[in-house]
Amino acid sequence: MAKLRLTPLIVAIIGSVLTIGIPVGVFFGLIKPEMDKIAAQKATYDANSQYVGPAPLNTHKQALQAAVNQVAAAEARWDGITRTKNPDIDLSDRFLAWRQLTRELEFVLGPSVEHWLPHTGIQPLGIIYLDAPSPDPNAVPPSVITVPLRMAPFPTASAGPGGGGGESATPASFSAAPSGGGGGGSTTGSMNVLGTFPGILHHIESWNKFSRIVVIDNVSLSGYSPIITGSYNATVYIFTTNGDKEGTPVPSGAATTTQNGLGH
Amino acid sequence: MLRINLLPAYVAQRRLTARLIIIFTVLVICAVVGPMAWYVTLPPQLNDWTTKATAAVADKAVLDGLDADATATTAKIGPIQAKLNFYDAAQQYNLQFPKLYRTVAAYTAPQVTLSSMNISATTLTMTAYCPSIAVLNKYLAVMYQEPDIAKVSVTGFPGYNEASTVATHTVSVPAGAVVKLPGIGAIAGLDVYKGRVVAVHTAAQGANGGAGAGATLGAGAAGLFNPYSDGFDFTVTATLKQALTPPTFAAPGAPGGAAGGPGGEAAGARPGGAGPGGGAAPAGGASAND
Repeated sequence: MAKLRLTPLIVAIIGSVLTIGIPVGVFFGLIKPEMDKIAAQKATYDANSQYVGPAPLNTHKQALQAAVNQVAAAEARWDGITRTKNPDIDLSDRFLAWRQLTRELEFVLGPSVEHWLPHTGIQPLGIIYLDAPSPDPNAVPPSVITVPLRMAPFPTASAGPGGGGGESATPASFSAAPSGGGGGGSTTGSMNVLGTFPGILHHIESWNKFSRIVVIDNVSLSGYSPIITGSYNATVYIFTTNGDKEGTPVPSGAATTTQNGLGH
Repeated sequence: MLRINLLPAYVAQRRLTARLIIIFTVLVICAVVGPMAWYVTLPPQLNDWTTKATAAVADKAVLDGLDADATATTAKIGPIQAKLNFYDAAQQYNLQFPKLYRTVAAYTAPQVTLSSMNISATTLTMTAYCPSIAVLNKYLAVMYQEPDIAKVSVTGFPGYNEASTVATHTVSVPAGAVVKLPGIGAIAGLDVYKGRVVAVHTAAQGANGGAGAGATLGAGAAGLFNPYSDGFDFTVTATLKQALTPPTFAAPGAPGGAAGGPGGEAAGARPGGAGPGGGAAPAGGASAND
């Protein structure tokens, strides 16, 4: 075999190839992948650099605290309102909720209104009556119960001297009394009061201080002072609790009826 | 001097070859060492940036967690805020009728006697007595400026020589109520004629009208209308700028957003359309009903 003779040209070629090829190979084989990794990490850091440091952390912590405070303030305010203006109707036990509602309507709300009305500068022109709740405990609405306040004329004696106030009216005549938008199965009753012009208006405004949440609507006045008759609709709103965690339905066989929003 | 090289060519070639080998060896060594030296500096940089990026991602995750907590906390307020909004709207709405009636009364001329006021949707209807056409003109001029009212119209006043519209209005004390007047005691009713009380019925006389002691005019007033001297009963119909709509409550998440009617859960907790705030009362004075 002929011996390879290294001529200057061959040395130059080999040398050039090595001088160029080795750095290029090292660059593309080793250096560039590392540089790409560094660039990727740098890009990740740049994308998230705004979250680095104590300032953004404090800002977000303050925002969270503000949200917590806002919720706490709202809850505290609502707790205060419900403590003074809303009975406890707890739907986590449906039968209990029905008993609470029944007690509220039969023993608390009606008497409270009757006792409160004369102390607001007017004379009520009838007695308060409320529809009974549905006999089905499963029919208590899960969020809010609306109770229209109704007023029936004072029971009058079928015979006897003088005007009203007699106690001898039969239940039949009493129950048929409501009129003028106040009865006959309508969903809102009509309250009728007697007083002076400023007295009646003050009475309407006084409903905001009553021990329940009430909405007054359709106020009308007629007459001449001091015999001015005011008529309006009053609806009581009762908010239940645990409506999102209603208890197990009770095996009630009562027909579910809708009575002025007190049933499903 | 001429230089003559008698050495064979391969000698020079060998010398050149050796030099080239040395040169290229140095170059190759540099070509290896340089990039390798560069390469050696890269892993520490990579570690450094990796640490920074990991820390930044972790910080972002912490902040995202705080944001999620804040969002979840804020979401809790929805149901409570809906109830609070309804409560505030109800409290505010209950003041709208008295406020509107007081403002209208303030814009009513003192010579005009109102006998009824009623609001249905956006319509305010009032019946009243006016002593003369001139007073009616003033009344209308002032009522046009009542801030809650967009339009006003009156009906019922008679034309020249038309039959008078004035009647005696008897208001009776309803059963079960007691109204006492100073010096008189309990009364059963009043007769009002031309805006003034002309007869008082005491309890002994019974309710529901009937001329009582002291009545000087009978029911109704006969005769033709004299615009120079006679008054008249009339009706005012006013259109409110904003309807009075009671607030309703809907549990958050309930379907529908329109205001529902009363009874059970309705949709849309929103404040009632409040009447605009009353402006300064003009010189017309208050209603003579008080």
